[in-house]
Amino acid sequence: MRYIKVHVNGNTLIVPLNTRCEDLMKILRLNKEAYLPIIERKPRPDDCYLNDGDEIHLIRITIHEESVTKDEKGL
Amino acid sequence: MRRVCDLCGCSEAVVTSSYGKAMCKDCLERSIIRRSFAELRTGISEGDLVVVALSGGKDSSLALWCIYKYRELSSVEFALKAVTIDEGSPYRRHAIEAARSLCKELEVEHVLVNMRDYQGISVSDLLRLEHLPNKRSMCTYCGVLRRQTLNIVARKLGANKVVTGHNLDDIIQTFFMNMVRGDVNALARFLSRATPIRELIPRVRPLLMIREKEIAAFVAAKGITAHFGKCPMVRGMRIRMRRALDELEVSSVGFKSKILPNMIKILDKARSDLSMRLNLHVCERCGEPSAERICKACQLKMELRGLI
Repeated sequence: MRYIKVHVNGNTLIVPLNTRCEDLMKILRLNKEAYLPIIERKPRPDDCYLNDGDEIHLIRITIHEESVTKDEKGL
Repeated sequence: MRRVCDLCGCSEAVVTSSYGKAMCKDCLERSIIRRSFAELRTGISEGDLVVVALSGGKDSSLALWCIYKYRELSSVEFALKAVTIDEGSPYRRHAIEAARSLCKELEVEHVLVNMRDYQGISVSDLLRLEHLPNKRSMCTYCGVLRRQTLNIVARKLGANKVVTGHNLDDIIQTFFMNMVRGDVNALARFLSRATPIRELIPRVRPLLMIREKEIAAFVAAKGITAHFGKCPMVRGMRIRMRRALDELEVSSVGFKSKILPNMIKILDKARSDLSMRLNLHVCERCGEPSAERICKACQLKMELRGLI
């Protein structure tokens, strides 16, 4: 199997070739409804294939977790 | 070229629509305009003074952009103002800046009001408390007090319509939350176009039929000035409901879009056939719209007496 290297929110990940955005979010255990994938500074659909060296930002558009610390509150 | 648009077949797609189709920026813009204008056409009339509740986040910023476009492209003439309520939360500073910038770009009058001036308390006052009374969440205080402040300010400005950025996801979550709580009164008022009392300024929701993810993609692709941060204090039933509904949307594509028209149909039928009436009065203490004798805002402030 061939692999590609992508950079997700500043971390480098190695994923199989022909990985789509939604596959990446599944690997990262993220609900695709809660995140907007920005690849190479442009929003992309969930079924967009990733390319080697892609700079990916997964922007959280909704909150799914309840763990709020004092630091997160800005205190 | 990356994944192309399923509709026009020529431009790069920016989002997956509710029905699993990939859409480019221009096709998404047409789709958003079509859906939001349908709501605005029924909600806005000639000569209205419309106030947009603008937090500076992606939803309210797009709502302002939609109504701005509607004024530009339709023949309906109405006045437009944007109101931002600073509830005193530390995370809001960037959003207020975004709201100010967007109003400047669109040349819309921007009114910034401090919640403490109207309610006597702010979120920063509440953050100083070790625990909130009756295990309430911050969203209860912030939501209730902000909503009432918006109604007071809109009335003070002489507005007869208030535009909010509630999207498809918000509406479905609220519907199910009211169902879980068994809140018949809230369900009766939910999405009703009737105005039961003159103290309540009617709401218009141009993003009613638009998914939150489509909004985020369009705002990012179009470069509409908006703050993308999420309030770190959000908690409670809404988060659990959101997670459950998002999981349903992933496993059953189009679930959110399909359920809304049915929800509206059920509510309309219940309102006309059953005894579900729009039960709203004015609060005995403050004179603001209320479902009970004393409004929720007064009840919450009474609970805080002696603590702040």
